[in-house]
Order: sequence, then C-alpha cells, then structure tokens
Amino acid sequence: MHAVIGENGAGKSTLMKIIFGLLQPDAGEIHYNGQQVVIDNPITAQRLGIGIVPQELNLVPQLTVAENILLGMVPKKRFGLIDWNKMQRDAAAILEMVGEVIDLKRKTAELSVAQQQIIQIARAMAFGARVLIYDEPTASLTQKETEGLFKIINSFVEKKGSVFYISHRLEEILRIAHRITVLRDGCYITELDPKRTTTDEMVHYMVGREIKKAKRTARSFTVEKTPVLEVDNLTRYGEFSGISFQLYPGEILGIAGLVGAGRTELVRCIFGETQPDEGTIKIHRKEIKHPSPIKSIKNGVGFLPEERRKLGLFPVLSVSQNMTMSTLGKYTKWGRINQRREAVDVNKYIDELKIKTPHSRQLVKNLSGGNQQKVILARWMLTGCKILILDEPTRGIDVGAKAEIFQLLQEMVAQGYAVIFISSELQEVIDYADRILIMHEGRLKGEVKGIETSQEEIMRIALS
Amino acid sequence: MPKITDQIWKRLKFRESGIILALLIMCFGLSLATPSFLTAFNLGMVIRQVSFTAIIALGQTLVLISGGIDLSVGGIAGLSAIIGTMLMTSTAMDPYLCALLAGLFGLFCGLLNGLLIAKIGLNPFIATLGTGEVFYGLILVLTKGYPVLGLPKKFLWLGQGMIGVVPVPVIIMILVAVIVAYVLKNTPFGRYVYAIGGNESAANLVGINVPKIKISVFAISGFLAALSGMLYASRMAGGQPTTGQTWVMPTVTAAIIGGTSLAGGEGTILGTMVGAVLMGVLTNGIVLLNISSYWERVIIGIVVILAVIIDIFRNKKENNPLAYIKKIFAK
Repeated sequence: MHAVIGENGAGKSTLMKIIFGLLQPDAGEIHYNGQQVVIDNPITAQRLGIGIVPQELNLVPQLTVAENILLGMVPKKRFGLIDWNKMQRDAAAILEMVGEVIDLKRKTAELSVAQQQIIQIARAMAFGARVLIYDEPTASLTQKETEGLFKIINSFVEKKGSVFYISHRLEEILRIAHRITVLRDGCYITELDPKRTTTDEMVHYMVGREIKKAKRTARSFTVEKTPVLEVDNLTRYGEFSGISFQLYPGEILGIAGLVGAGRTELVRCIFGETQPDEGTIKIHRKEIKHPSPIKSIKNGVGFLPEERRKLGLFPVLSVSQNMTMSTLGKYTKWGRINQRREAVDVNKYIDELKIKTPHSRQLVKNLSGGNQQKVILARWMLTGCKILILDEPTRGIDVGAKAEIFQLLQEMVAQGYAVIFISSELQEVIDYADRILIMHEGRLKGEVKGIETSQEEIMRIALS
Repeated sequence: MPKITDQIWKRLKFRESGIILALLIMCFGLSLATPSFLTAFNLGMVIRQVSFTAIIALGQTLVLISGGIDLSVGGIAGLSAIIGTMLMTSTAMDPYLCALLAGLFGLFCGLLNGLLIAKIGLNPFIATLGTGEVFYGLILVLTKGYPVLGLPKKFLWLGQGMIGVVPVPVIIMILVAVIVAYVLKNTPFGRYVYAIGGNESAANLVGINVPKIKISVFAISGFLAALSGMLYASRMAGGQPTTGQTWVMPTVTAAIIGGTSLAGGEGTILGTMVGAVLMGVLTNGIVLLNISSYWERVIIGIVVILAVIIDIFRNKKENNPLAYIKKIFAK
C-alpha cells in the first residue's frame, strides 16, 4: 500500500498514467516483477496485471453492472454471441472477491458513486490485476463509504496485491498506507514512513514551505444588518424541501451534509439554474420571480459550481477570456471589446490572486486545478457581485492552493461579501464558516456556529 | 539572442499556417504543371466559383463554432433565390429590394432553425436536415421544376459584374468575411459563440443568454445562405430550382479543412476562407490536368480526411508527423 502525495501539478497523475500505459515516458525504465517492461498502452498494462481506478470513473452508464465489470472481456459462445449465463457467474464471482453485493442486472447509472467505484474496482480485478492504482478514490465518498473502500483495499493487500494510492486527504493516508512517496514539481522529494510522520511533515515536503493555518477569529456580525439573501420555504420535489435561511453581508455561511443531502441542488436552485416548486428567494429584500443565472448575476450573485471542468470553465478559451466572460459589457463600446482595457483588469487579478500562468492568453485547460478555481473566482469578483456561492471550491485542489483560496475568502468577507460555502470536508467548513447549516436528505436539520462546533456534533445533528 | 529563422518560424506557426502552406504548394505545383492555371482569367473564375459556397461557409463556421451544424443552408439558398426571382418577375418592385426581401426570408428560415434547436431542444443535425428537406420541397412546389427566367437586366450586375478586375460576388465574399471575422474576434457576441461551443452548461451559468446567441447564429447562417442564393441567381440570370442542392457539404468541408472543430468552440474565418479557396483550386486543378471529373469527389473526400488527420497532429502536439505515422504503423 504505497501512497503518492504531492500538490496538484506535482506529477502524480502523470506518473500513474505512464505506469498504466496512457502516456509514454521520455526517459527511464519500468520494471515489473523484476523484469524491464515497456507499457505502450493500457491493454499491455492490463495484461501485466496493472489496473486503475481513475478519479473520474469510466463506466458505461447505460450498461448493466455485469456488463460493465466484464467490459472488454465479455465471455463468448460460438459465433461470437455473448454467453450471458457465464457473464453473470463471472461477474458475481468477481464482486464476491471484492466483497460487495450489488444487483448485477441493474443499470450502472442508477447506482451511487461509491457503488460505481466498486464496479470500477471489480473491473480492474476482472483482468486479474495484481497492482491497482487508485487516483483520488475518496474525493466524492461519504465517511461510511470511505471505510467500505478501505476494507476492500485492505483485503486486496492482504492477498499480496499492491496498491498505488493518490489522495489529498492526508489523515486517510496516515491510517492506511505502508509507505508514502512525496512528489513536488515533477520530482521525487522523499519517502516517509506513515508510522513516524505527521500530516504537518507531509505538507511540509509537499509544498516545500510551511503553511500557516488561517487563524480562526470569530467575526461578529450583528443581526441588525439586513440580510442580502433570504430563502423561504424553498422546495424542489425530490431534491430538497422547506429550506429557509438568511445570509448576511460579511459572513461565510457553511452548508454541511453528507453526499446526497441536497446541498448542490439547493444552491443551483438559488442561483436560478433550476426552478423551485415552492418557496421564495429574496435578494436585497426583493423577491426574485422565475430565477435565472442572468437575473442572479444582475442582482450581484456569483456561483462557483461543483464540477469545475463541466460547469465552470471554457477549456479551449484563454485565461483572459474565461475571466471576463460575465463582464464583457464593461469593456464594450460601440459593440467592440476594448481588449487593452480588458487586459488591464485581467492582469490585475492574475497578480492579485497569484494565478500561476505564463500569460493571460494561455488556454485555461493548461492550468492546475487551484489556478483554474482562482480564474473562476476572479470572474465573479470582476462582476462586482456581493453574494458568492461556492460549491466544493477545494475539491481536487492541493493544500497550498486551498490555503490561498481561504485566505482570499477571508479578505473578501472582510470587504463585505456574503459567502455560501459548501464542502464535503467537514473540518474545512468548521474552520472557515461563521454559521453552518446542516442538511440531511433534502431537509435542514439545524444550525451551529463554526467556532463552537465539532465534526461529531455536526454528524450527530445531521443523522438525528 | 534568438536566431532570426526562429523568429520567422514563430511568426509562421499560427493556427492556419499549415493549410495556407498546403494551398501555396498546390498553386505552385499547378502553375508548373499547366500554363493555363496562373492566368487572370482562370484565377478569377476559380475565385468566383468559390465565392457562392464560401459566403455560406462563413455562416456555417459560426454555427459550427457554437457547437451546431446547419444542413439546411442549401435549401435556404435555393428557396430564397426562387422567392427573390419570383418577386422580381411578377412584381414591379426594384430587383434589389426583392433581393433584400429574399435575404430577410433566409434570415427568417434561419430563425426558425434556431427556435427549433434552442427553444424546443431539437438536435441541430436532425432539425436542419428536416427543415432543409422542407425548403428543397417548397422550391419544387413553387416552380414545378421550371427555372424562373426573365430577370431584370439591372439585377445581373450583382452576379456578373466586375469592379475593376474583381467580380462583384468576390468583393461581397471578402466584405462578408471581414465583417464576420471582426465580429467573432472583437465583439461580446463572438466571444459568446466560442463560449457556447466550448462549454454550453458553463456558458449558461456565467449569464450568457444561450438560446438568443444560438438563434442569432442560425439566423446569420440563413441570411448568408439567401445572399449567396441571390448572387447565384444573378450569375445564372435566372432562379434555378436546383440551386443549393450540392452546397451543403462544401460549406462544412471548407470550415473543417480550415480547422474548425466539429465539436464546437474552435475555428476561424481565415481558416474557412483558405479552406474554401483550397477546395476551389483542387476542383480547378482536376479540370486543368484533364483528370476525369468523375474523380473529383473521390479526391475531395481524401483531402477532407487528410485535413482532419493534420488537425489531430496539431492537437496532440506531435511535432513530427512522420514519427507519429511510423508509430501508428509500428503498432
């Protein structure tokens, strides 16, 4: 059980892709079971017994569980017909090896993320993998599902399997890894022994500099202030119901809950991407009828969505074009964009937010996750919005960038921004939110103050 | 200090340099092979031939960048040409007013496409395939298959006239190309077109009015198709019921050869123009070299595939195509 850690852009995923044959090394050799091998594509890797559970699962949602597990090695009868009976048996045997029970005939699309991951693991096992690569497997799992995954990994390791494990969750790694390799900027930095190291030491090697934890101060905001956003009895059937709360200027309002609690659905509705079935949204005391993103932005709301690549970025456009997409009107006169004035603003934010990019014309897809996130933040800051909704802003971002983003958030609320902050990492919410709303299965279960609460308390309220 | 050749190379390595190089090589080869290629008469003919589909290809490029495709351009061009010429022959209106009305009719057809796609949610391929059929069908309903003849003399200047040594349609083509290129590069509208093609969900979330932009793009495409239809009618001195029937593929091909991505989000007007001219030169070369014209479509098909392969190299950042080809065959 070999953990590989490093900041985003340290080269972890690239290294794993080389091992799995998706990329070719420019120099160097790979030895497998003591023999030098050339892994020129994933098929070779699978034949050698190397499997991967990628961060973004690559299952075929329309196919059944059994079909997905045996994808690429479907048992055949004569004339090339599929042997369905054998397929069921094989798939069941593999799932049993993994130690999970999932109905083989169900469509994969109907399963939870955790179950889909198990299918991905089962598929790697189906090829008889002896070496499994896990790339950020727990990023979207709940605590309980994570425990289940660890059980699977442990039993695999007990059967003399080897595991490469990439994760940003350092506590997790300390618990389950046998060895830890640290990468930084594409270089091997050191190897750590999980029995002797601490998360602080790991972070130290990962970033090459100490990260000071933002000092927690309880900001006091008086209730006399008028709320900028009021949500009353907001309901979308099947997603969430009866949600009411207020958001005040200068505060960070955290929303905590397990995956599936309806947090993302709630904020998407508040931003106007979906329509509520019941209830009202008021911004600056004014009710918003038929909310839409265009209206929300006009009213000073910004939204950083959960899935950065799918919903937040224009990958083939430049950093500059990504940043000004919501504010082009500012630079436009007689229908023409004044690109010089645009560049002034863009460069200002690149400097201020310390966005690492060679120049503003760089395609945004070439930036690391943390820097992409900063580009999106800059986009909203440019609009002059007063309410910022952040849905999992730190997912898949390295510790250094996380600290920078939180630093930025603190500065923003100090300037009077009101922030709604969703994160699956409870500790983050506790550390940075002034108030925390706790959601569970589409309902609001309670509210706590960030400074007085603990992970245990929040979980207790959520599950009560 | 960087070497001067490096600097020149860097200047040359923009998006469209590959296809421009291909065009130059082709022209050079043809001028060696046959003396009749590099004559003012021949070049003028080639470029005028190209202009009809090139104008439509400009609209098609917009549609493709926005992530759609417009297969109804041929139908719109044909139907607009018929309606425009019928107005000219059956009413006393000024022919250029009739042409303008035909243009507006094309715009309206495009608007219809846009509404079907952006508001009702039809897939662009299916929607425009369907409306295109309707337009072709309406041509036959209106004409019963006979051409509309007897256009006013005054109108023939549009398709047959010259300004200096340059044919009028060519001037219109260049004018439209410059305008569309300017709009794409320098206006919020242009930015939004790229944004929607690059990531429609994100475009919606940053406050772009996605349906409005999509409808506009199809409307522009429809208008340019109608414009081209009128130019062609003037050139042929009559509204031919077959106008536009073979025009759809060349417009898509010109854009694709010019580097426009079928997936949306990428493409330039310069690329499309060069792509259109390249296809015109290719066709011309086939004629001049006395190759049986039956081969024309075979050759064009191969060129399209080659162009897309070159595009893949560019995306893979493979600097050495030969090494890449070797690698493919080594497998």
